[in-house]
Amino acid sequence: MTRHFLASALFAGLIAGVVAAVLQNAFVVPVLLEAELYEGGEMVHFAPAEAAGGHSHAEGHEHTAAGGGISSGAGDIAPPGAGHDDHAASGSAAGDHEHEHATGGTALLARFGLTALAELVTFAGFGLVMVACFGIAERFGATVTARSGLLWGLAGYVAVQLAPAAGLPPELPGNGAAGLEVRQLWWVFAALASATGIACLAFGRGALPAAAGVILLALPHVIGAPHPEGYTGVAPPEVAALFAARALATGAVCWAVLGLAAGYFWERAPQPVARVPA
Amino acid sequence: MSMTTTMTTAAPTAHTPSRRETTGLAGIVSALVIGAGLVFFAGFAHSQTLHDAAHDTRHVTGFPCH
Repeated sequence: MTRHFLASALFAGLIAGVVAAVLQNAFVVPVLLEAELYEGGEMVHFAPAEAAGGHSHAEGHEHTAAGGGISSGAGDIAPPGAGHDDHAASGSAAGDHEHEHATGGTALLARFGLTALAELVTFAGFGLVMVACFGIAERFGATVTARSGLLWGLAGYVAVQLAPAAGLPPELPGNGAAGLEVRQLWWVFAALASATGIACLAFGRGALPAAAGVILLALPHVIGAPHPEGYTGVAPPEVAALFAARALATGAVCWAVLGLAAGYFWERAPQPVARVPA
Repeated sequence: MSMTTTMTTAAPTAHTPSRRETTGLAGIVSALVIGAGLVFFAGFAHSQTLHDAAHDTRHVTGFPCH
């Protein structure tokens, strides 16, 4: 029975992982790759202060001259399916950095493949944790179906991605951040507190669980996420904004799929817990 | 939200209630441990190899990275 329990969770996670791999490689990773051009110095958003002089606005968008096909940033990568190949193709006539990308096709493919693999592992993990939570909830009398699984998925998204992102937004490469360990610690705390808070609101009865739920949801943000001393990001804010928005949007879809699939399999699986009268 | 469960497909006769409790708990704990382990390796482990492989996923999923 345990084997079936784990297999259905893994299968749901793999379905969500495939969706994540497709959506994120298509919509989010290209934005990340563009940001890496700024991180590596191949593209420059603003001219150095000493060069800007009295006409900083005129020189402010140096990347429009240096960047070739990628200069419009968000606009260039907006069309669905455009992906990174369009960057390489459109930029190859204009600048040195595009040349590097155009010749690095195999490396890029491997990178997309590794990202897809990591998505599968990540969502398989989230799927297992979610199904474990199904098991706990059923022990307390809750019934999990595909429909309620969708709500579980969205709740998981809020707990694990949206709420932590309110303190630590999805990070663009090259942007400044506080120390890694302290951010990881805050992230784990925020995710656990948010998940527990949502569970209190969803399953608790009466004012006390509701109050506890609100407090748990607010607590990580009252404490505050660790942030760097100053801003050191080199990519245009438009790129960072697009990255964060797309990361959150695709995350919502993936979590919805995860919850729906996990609920679907759970509903159909012969469950030993709470399904059989004692 | 309540729906009819698939009791008819289950074959519960071989288990006693205490046996069911134990099995269920083992499943829950296994799923939690394995699931958290997978998320840790994909999203948090400091190993350079794991970091490099999962780099883009970490950024995109919102895990703290670098």
